[in-house]
Amino acid sequence: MEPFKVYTLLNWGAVFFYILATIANVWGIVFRHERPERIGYRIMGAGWLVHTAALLYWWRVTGHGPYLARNEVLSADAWIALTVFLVFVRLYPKIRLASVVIFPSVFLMIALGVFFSPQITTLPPTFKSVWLVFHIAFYKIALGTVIIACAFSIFYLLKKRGHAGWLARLPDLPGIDLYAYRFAGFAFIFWAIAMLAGSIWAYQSWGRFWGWDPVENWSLLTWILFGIYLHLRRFFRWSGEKAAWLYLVCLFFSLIAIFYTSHLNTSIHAEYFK
Amino acid sequence: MLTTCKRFLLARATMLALLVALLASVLVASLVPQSFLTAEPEMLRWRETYPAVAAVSGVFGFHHVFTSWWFAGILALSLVSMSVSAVEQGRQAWRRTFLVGAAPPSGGALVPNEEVAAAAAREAGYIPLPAGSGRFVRHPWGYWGNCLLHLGLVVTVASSLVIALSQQRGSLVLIKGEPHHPDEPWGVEENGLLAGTFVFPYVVELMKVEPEFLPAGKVRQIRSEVKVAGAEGGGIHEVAVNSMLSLGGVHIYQSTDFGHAFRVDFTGTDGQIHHFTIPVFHPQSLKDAGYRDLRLPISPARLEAKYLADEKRTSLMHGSPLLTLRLVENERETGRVTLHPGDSGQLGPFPVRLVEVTQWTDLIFVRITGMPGVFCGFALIILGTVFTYCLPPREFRLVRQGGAWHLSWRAERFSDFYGDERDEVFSRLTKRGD
Repeated sequence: MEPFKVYTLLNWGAVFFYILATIANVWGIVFRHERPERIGYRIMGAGWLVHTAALLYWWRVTGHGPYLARNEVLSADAWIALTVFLVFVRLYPKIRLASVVIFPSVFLMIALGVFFSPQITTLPPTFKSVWLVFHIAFYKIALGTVIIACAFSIFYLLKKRGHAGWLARLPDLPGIDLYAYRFAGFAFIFWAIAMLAGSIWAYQSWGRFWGWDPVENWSLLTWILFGIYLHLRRFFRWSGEKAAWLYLVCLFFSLIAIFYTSHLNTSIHAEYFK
Repeated sequence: MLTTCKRFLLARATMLALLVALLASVLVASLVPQSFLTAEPEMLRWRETYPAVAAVSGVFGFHHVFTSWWFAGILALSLVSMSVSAVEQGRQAWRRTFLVGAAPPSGGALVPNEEVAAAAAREAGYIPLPAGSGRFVRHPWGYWGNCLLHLGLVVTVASSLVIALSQQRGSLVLIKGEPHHPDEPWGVEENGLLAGTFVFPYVVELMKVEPEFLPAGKVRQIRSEVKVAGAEGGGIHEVAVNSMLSLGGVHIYQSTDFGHAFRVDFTGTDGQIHHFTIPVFHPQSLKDAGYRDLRLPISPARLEAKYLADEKRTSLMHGSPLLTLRLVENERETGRVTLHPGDSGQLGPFPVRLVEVTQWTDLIFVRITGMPGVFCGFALIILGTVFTYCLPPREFRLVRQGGAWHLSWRAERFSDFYGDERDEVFSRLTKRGD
């Protein structure tokens, strides 16, 4: 079978599992049935395996990691977001309910990726650097933690308004708020590591560690915004609803930085998608 | 006065205002085209489209945010504020790490035996600090998170400023067989505000360019050999993409631009022969052509050059290149000629001859001081945030109360996260007490 067909089929297979998992998980959580929720996690695990196979197969076909064509970038974003969540669920079992936001996000990212036809692209010579791999991987890990913090900010706003009984299973309001704060802190760390790796890569390739191009600007802007959020929480005792709304602004900026600005032609990062 | 200044610089509101100002600056730089990144025609188009914004931008320098006086002011004030804050945070971290403060006034439990309580705390990963003080801390380095974060920011910003003021950069289009002398100008030169003219004090000559290709014809790697005359350790050196060469404090980078250079003789309308070398970008594949547009001093028309790497389409580097030249005036073609090496022809009003085909590449020369500072600063920032958000310190305090010992617990941050850890130690103690 042609590599394109195998890759597309595997991706669709993962999408299929992810849809089933999302339905089972959301059903279980909203209607408070533990079994479908548990089954949702198992189906997600199966989807994760198929997704991993798709990415590894495509890596072998293209000869480089999943970070050049739009299709593979979105697929890798989804895979890393899910992996980050599954790792953190083991560390902090109380975040389990965040699956109600993570699973649909993962499914949406990979499904969106499937709509871009897969391409076999070659790495430009400057992209052959381990720092580039760290740079990209840490932005994706940061995205995973950004989504988890987003889930808790949304939970806070919903629970505060007394919507939906299923939210009773979550920790109390200060607890939810604390999870949002903590994961925003993790996002801040991973984002900083991603920027550092990117600047080392740029210095190694062009002798310039920072070029103020649009992608760099938006990344810095998002990082400063996260810094303001954390500063307000730490020193101005911002918490609760105010903090949750500010976090959603941070989320908006981070999504622009990750999904929009890298496609601008004025940026060196647009090379990815040419 | 000094105290007032210090209080102002340390005020949380000052730090917040500076962060917001930095955020706003970067936002403006993202929305308004920056002159150092945007071609002049595009800048002109933007000014015509948004005349009002362009007028404001002209006054405040929004089109060159990062070299404006107000951005320098924000950066300088941030640097001072963060430096003072880093010192203050360091003092606090020292106190919290090594001095034993008052025990929490409430909570905790009474334990009959000091030794048992200390052993339970140690088993849970808490270390006595200072020894024998009755205080047991887990992750005491977490107290240093904020100090390291602020220090990292100071080091990064200060190093970046040093680089912005002192760095020198120049790029050269080197053509094989044409040495470049120190007194000749750079193709593009970019110097820091306090840096003088950049001079690379040696003669550089391109010996060969060796690109490696993938089967589909895409470039895998570009490697050049350059002869550097007069430098200590001079001679022939290799430079490749992601593998720079350092000579006399200057780093030399291989860019991704390279191709064939065509030496063409033009006979002017006055009968004089003019020698030009036209470096054209390498084609993407055997089927594609490489292009370059340029202006010649002997004609107002634009010269458009394109070439196929190999007329027979067998080799990207060692075939027989075929060059086509066009003269374009007011977007109308006024002449065209296709030449093999050694061929002559007529290009508009000019008789031309392709004398020789050789190689060219672009090298970037950089003299930079402060990079270790930037990377160390970044590493400190990351270490600081990891200490702050991943390793918050927790402590048990053991204080004598009458005939028993009172054990209390507190966490520096996120105490709700570590309730289980506290409960585990207390439950161990309860079991041992039973």
